[in-house]
Amino acid sequence: MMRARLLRTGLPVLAAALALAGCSGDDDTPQGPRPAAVALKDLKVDGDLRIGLLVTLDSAPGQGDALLPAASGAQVAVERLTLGGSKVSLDVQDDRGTADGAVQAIERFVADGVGGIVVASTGDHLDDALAAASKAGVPVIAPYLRDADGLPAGVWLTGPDDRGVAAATQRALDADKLLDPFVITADGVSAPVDGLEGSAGTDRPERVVAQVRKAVKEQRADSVVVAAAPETQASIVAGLQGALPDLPIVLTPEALTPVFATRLVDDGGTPADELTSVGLDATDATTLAQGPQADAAAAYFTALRLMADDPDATDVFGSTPFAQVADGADIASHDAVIALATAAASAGSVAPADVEKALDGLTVEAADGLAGPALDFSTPVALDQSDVVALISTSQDPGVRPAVAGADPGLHWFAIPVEQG
Amino acid sequence: MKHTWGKGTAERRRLIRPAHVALALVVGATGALVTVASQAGTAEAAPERVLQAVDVKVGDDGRVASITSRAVRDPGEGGKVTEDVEELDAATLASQLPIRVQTTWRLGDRTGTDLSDIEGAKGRVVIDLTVQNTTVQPRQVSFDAGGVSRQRWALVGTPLTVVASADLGEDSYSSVVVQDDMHPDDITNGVLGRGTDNNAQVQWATMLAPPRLGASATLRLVQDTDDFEVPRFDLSVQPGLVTDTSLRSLLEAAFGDADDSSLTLEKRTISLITSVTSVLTEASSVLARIQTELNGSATTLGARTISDLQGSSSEVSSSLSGLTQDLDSLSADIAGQLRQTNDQALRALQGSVDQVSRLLGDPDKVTPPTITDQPDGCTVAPLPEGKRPTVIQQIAAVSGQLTALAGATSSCRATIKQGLLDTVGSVQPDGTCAPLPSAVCGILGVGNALTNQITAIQVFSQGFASRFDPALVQNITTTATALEDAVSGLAESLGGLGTGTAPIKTQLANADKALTDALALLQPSGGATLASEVGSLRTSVDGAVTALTGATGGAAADLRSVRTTVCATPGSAADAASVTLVGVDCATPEPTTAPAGSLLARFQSIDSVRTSLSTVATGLKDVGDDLAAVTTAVQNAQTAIRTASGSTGTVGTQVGSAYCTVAAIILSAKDFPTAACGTAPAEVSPLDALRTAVTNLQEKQGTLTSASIVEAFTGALNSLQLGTNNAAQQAQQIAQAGQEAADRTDSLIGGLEAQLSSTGDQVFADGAEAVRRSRDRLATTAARSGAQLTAGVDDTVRRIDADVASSNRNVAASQRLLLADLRKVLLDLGERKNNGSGLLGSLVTGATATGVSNDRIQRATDTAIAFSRVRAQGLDDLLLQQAQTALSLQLQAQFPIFGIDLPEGSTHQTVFSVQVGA
Repeated sequence: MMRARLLRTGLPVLAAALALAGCSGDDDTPQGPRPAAVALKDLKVDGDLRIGLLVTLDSAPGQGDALLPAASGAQVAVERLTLGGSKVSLDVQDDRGTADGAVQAIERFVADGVGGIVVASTGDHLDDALAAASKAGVPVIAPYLRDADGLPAGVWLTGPDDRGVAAATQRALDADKLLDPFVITADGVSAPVDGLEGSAGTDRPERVVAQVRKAVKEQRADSVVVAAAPETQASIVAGLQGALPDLPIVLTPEALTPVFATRLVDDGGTPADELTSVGLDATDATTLAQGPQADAAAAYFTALRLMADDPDATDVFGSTPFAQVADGADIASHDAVIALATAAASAGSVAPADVEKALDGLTVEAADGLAGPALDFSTPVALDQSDVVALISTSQDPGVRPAVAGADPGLHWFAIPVEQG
Repeated sequence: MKHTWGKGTAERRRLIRPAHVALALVVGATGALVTVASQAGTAEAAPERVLQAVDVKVGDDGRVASITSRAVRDPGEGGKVTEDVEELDAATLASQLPIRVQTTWRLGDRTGTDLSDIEGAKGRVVIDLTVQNTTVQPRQVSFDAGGVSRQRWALVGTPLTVVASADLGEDSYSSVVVQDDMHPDDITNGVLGRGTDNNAQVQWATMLAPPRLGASATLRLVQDTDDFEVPRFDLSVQPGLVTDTSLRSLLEAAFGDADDSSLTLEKRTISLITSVTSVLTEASSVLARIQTELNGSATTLGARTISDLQGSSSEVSSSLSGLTQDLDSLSADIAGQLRQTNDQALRALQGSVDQVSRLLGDPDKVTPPTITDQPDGCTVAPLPEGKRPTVIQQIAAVSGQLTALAGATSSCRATIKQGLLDTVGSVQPDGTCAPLPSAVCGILGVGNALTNQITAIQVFSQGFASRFDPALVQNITTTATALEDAVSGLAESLGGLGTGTAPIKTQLANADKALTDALALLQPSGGATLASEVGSLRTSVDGAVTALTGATGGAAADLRSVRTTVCATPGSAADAASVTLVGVDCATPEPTTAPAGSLLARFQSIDSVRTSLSTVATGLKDVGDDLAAVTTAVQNAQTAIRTASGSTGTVGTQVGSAYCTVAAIILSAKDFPTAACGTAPAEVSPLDALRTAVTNLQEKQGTLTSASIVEAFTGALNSLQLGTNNAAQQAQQIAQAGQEAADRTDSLIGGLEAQLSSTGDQVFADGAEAVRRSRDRLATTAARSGAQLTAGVDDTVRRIDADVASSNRNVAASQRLLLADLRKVLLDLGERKNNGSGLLGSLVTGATATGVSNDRIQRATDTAIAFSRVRAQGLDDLLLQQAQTALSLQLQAQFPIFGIDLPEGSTHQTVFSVQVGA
């Protein structure tokens, strides 16, 4: 086999790419390809990097509390960086789901001297906080925020934005030749596509279901799109499953949170149904395939299992064993932390101004430790929105997370081939 | 589709050596079922039969260090068998391996992924090797459910069989941790065996066969050590569900004769059993639907519904007939082979096939049930007693009754319908409801729904109690009092303008300041205004009222609806249920006020809390409106005073105007100086109105403290809890009344389950026996050819043998583990309990009404239908899983050769040998 020795250039991206290609700078270690390293040894942060993690413990529907389990993904990133030899820690603040709380959280982050902030929440209550962080010169990555309009400087979105969700939703409908969706909105989540409109904000779910049933009976609707907080989505889907079991249902990405699955079962629905949502091909099922993307996701889940098996690892508040929150930990928040760490490594500094400057224009990808799609920080929306794809639900557990005793039947999602989805 | 893993991308060097061996096992093959047509290399080359072993070396840190392909190639037609050894480009092909192996370790509070980091360590070491099947892809899977063809996306991959072993070295046996009561998960999960020199040898074996089995497995080794030596893990991975991973079996799979191969017969048995379970699940699905339709219809069944049901049962009958034909065909094939070989393994397999065939029954010997339709009534002849009816007979019985139902007279129709159904159902001792949604299940469903209601209200009341802040109301009162103080002296001072010692300008300035102070209270700069505080509180209370309406709204309608359903079948049980629900029996009209103790009364008591809250909300609205009026009036007064101060006109007139404006704020009509200012603008001045509104609010809020709210809810919750229990008791009573009838429908599925379970066990036992006998036969064959094989064996065959053997040090243990896994894949009948797995679990789960939210109850019958639809989706999921399993077995036959080219039409068998560490 051909071997080559290439010197490290100091650029983590290149170094990781070389590792991917089976090259190593150390002749004493075994040579060979390592598709995706769990310990991020090639990403070296100079100094102690503190990252602010803003979460929402309790909020009105649609204002971020459903994302709390997802935020644990940030801890997995810290674990991988720590295994790699970097010193990275999280400073966690709860914004209470209010604008004032969010601003106060940002103020505390600034006072604590964090190098960057990951906003693991969503909703318009964050508007003032983002402006405050921008004004303070602390870079912010918001992996779950969807409204990309009017983002302040120094704030990046790394997940699907409204446009990406809209396009992917439309593609999902087109793929199944669904022309007349009944679009239900609630909780301030914007409708991704046009169609017959219904609102779950003012009506009880069964009334909305009755409206859908009427529209389907009169052949005015051939499918349903539900844009709402996960709790609301679950109530409506449960009702639809009982009333119209064969009606195609498409859900906005709120359905990807564990809250949705739990509430669906609570409301008498079933995870055995086939539901469609849109999001990134960075789910548990992603690991079951071959190739760099699958390997990257697999490395993330290996680190997650490592933490879940560690009796000393806890959730973000230090109050619950990590094993109990591992079922919700999300790749998006993990990748946000990795992106900030990559910027800090690139800058050779953990000062927020330096991190922000380095992040601006930076490209981060699987070779850097991302578990999801590549991110390009040259624009405020760092994710290529063509990476937002149709996801299909399944009750079959890919088995990459530790089983939690007594947990509800889970709902899992997998991406379907783009050309068909 | 034909393709090759990594084809065309690998750089490699090829070593082709002729082998001086003509394998004795290669005789007259015409194409092996167990292997697969592979990718074309050179179109003109003759097809070959190939056994490929892929050696993968993985470092301690998970790096794939090398990949080597060793192939034994048989060109057929008397050509020489050759060896083909190629070192493949690991950098390119590592990510295309059908498995992913990842290592992690834990030692005390340290964790890591590179096993070499703990070389020489002391303490308890936990090592995990996670092996993942990476052939899984989303595919569209087709299956029939209830006679309807469906297509769904699902994850499907080639099933893989993994055996693995580790030898931990001399005197290591006692260091392996296999039990730890304090940390039950931190133990070695393989089978520990003792080798020579007291070596610990750990054996793992598993199948990565989604959806029935996980796509990944973790091999855990836990060891107490003073000087840890990283062991070498040897893994062997084969496509398919393989219970014999030996070299013999590999050689037979690659080069054996397809048609009489016992491995082929094993695969045909696997396929057969998969088909049987699919058809039986479909049959259950149709039966469930029939019962549901009958249960769900409060009125006479429509002709169309009956027609649909007949269609569904006919579909199942057709599937069953097709299956029995397949079984007969397979049985005939085996019989043909038996005439030639008289092989015991074949005989055992034929026994299994025939037994399954008997279970299903003979479609040509089905007698529809006898139904006598006379003007004075009719009878339905039951299935013959003393002999367990076959599945086809059961389906035929249902079909016959449906046909009779469609053409029956009205009186007989009722009897047939009753015979089919008898509607009621039963409650099991464990509280579950069976067999299907029914009146009893509806009642029990309401009981469960009430429990949900309690939870919703608890959550709400806790949330509201924390939001309802009595201090905020007090704040309003304090501010209003300060406001009153600020403006109260104004009228007096303005009334005496010009009469005191101070100049008019000064007096006007004082008045201006007083009004400025008042405005500062009303609209403080930078702080929350009194109006916004009132608004905020009002929003909170309004939200609470809305939430409470949502939580209890419709409950009364639900209860009345359930009562209507219950009372449709008059009797003492129905009366008792009605009393529980609305306080009166079925014959008594519902009174205006629900009698105390009824569920309806308890909901109404919660409504009274909502009414109190609504009153508070109204009071807050009054305060808000009055505050707005006062603010406007004060602003007007200040404008008037400032006009007077800056006036160059008649001071008296301007001052008088200012005075009247201020007076209009403070003085109501009865005190208003009409002589000076004319008619009062309002009967009650804004300030008096505000004072009254605030007082009213204080009174209304007086008893409505956080504590009182919690208390009110607690009382209501206790009542609801009692009501829920009562509902369950009533359901039990009704259940007993209808038990006999319910048993009739229950037996339909119950009998099926029992047969399915017992026959499944027998089929599996026979299958296992067949496999064992096959192995024996293989051993004999291998022994017969041993001389030739050994004489000609060269490096490649020896190497494959060594690799396979090193991963399988404890053959008995791995076979036991693999047989257990195979059983899970093929015969996952599941557990007969709520939320249990498999077909039985699905049937039972479907028959219980747990988890149905009261919010979704419109009418009890609606709920039953909705529930049955949700349940049907559960059965659909089961059918999907069976279709996935069938498709995955097909994929096994398409498993591609790894990294090398073969001539078009070649067949091959591939085994992966993975060495991790050392």
